Amino acid sequence: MKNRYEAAKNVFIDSVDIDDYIELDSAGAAYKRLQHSLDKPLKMILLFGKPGTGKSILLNRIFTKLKFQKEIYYFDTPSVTEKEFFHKLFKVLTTQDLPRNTEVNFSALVNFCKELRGKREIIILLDEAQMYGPQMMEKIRLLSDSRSVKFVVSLHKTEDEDLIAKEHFQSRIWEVIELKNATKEDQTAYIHKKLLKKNLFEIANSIKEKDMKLIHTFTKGNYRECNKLLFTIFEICEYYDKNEPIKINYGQIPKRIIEMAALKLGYIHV
Amino acid sequence: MYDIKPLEEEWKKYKRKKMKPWYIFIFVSLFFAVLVPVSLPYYKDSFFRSLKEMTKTKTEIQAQVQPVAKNEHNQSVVLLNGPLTMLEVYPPKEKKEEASLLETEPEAGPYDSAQEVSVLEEEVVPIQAQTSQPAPKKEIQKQKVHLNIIETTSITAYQEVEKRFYESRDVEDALFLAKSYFDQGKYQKAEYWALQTNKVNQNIEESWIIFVKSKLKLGRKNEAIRILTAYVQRTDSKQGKKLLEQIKNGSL
Repeated sequence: MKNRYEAAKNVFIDSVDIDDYIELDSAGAAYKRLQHSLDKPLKMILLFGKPGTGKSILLNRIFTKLKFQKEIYYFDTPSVTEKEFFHKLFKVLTTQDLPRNTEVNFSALVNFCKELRGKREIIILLDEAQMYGPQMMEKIRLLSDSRSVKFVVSLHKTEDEDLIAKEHFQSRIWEVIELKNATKEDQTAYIHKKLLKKNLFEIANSIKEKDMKLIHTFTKGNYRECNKLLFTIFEICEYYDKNEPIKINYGQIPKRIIEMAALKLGYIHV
Repeated sequence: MYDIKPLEEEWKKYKRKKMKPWYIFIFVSLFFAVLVPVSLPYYKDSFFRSLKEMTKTKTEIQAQVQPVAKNEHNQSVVLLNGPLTMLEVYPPKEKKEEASLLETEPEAGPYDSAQEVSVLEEEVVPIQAQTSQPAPKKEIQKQKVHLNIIETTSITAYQEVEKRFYESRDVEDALFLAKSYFDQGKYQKAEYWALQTNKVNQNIEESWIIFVKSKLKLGRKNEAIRILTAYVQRTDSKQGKKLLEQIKNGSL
């Protein structure tokens, strides 16, 4: 039989799999706002937030929900070069692969997009857009000016990326949706729902209110950090369960284990 | 998970570091807890030494108290014993006899005549208005008074005890004042302090007796009988019954 903590541990493997999506009030509000923005005649939408606030999973979710209703494409990994990006874009726009040893003429591409206006409405979800340079972002903006291609740009919120946002986006758009770290209540609901989704009722109940508070203090409500911490907590529990069951309380996750996990991940130091 | 042992060690170190301020706090607390009882006898001896010196120079003190009325001269004698009675718990001989007389009867049950108490409270409202003061730590206050009494005059010593009561609400202080004032013939003050004692603790028979006796001395015989009757009904006090009989007979 699979160790109960092993199952719990696997629940918190960080992924953007839509099956792992947890419906929370805050996330639900962001989803509705993004969906509403996509219906507006906007050229670009900026999805903004610190790493681990759920931007990727939100894009993934909107893509999954709308892929049969709209012409929507999800560029989850940023293209390393401009050439690669325009190859991908060419395929999206023309539904054909670019012939070998050829390059996309940007002016021609813009003109092509202009011709599509009124005929097609293409939505492109660009995740990790902070990886694109300023020149590339300028070209993306020019393409969006054609009004046939709408870009949803997901950006990390750091000082540098703030600069990108200011320089390239602020004057030209748009709808800005900012995702924030979870509150203690949201994070508690997130952890519980994740465990309950896999029928791990006992484990969910073994994380008490004060443990949730401690977890929130360590992770500052960041979903990615929360996943990492919970994964490590259950990894330690799994070890004790297998090797030293005397050291574990099945009714409540010991504070010691949470602190050990926090030490391992560097949230606290000796 | 292969690095659990080093992680456990790291956690132990972390815990020790986290608990360090608590250990220091406990150590300091224990240090003071040990130091105070050890150094206390020294201060106690020095207190008695200075008290002896004070007794030797009694004539000088009396000379200083000359301008004060005769009644107040008596106070100084009582007061030198008074605060000591409270602080050292060695009451003077005559007090002890009186206390033992009262203690021969079993302790009465709670006196819950709200009506009686409210009547009594109404009588002393103007005085009571002065009494509302915050109550800081009792022990510290007692210690301060202990030293002050030696240095100050008898009148101020009484004031110190009164002040201490307003701060600490210590029933022993109020009872001491009631007894002392009664002995000095200051029946109005004795009545007031007996009432204060009863407010804090309604089950001290001695204070009820002083209260009733003070009323009697102030010429309020009917009131004294009424209060004592209510008290006896509530508590079935033999001492109370005896006193009631004496009052009714006029033998007191």
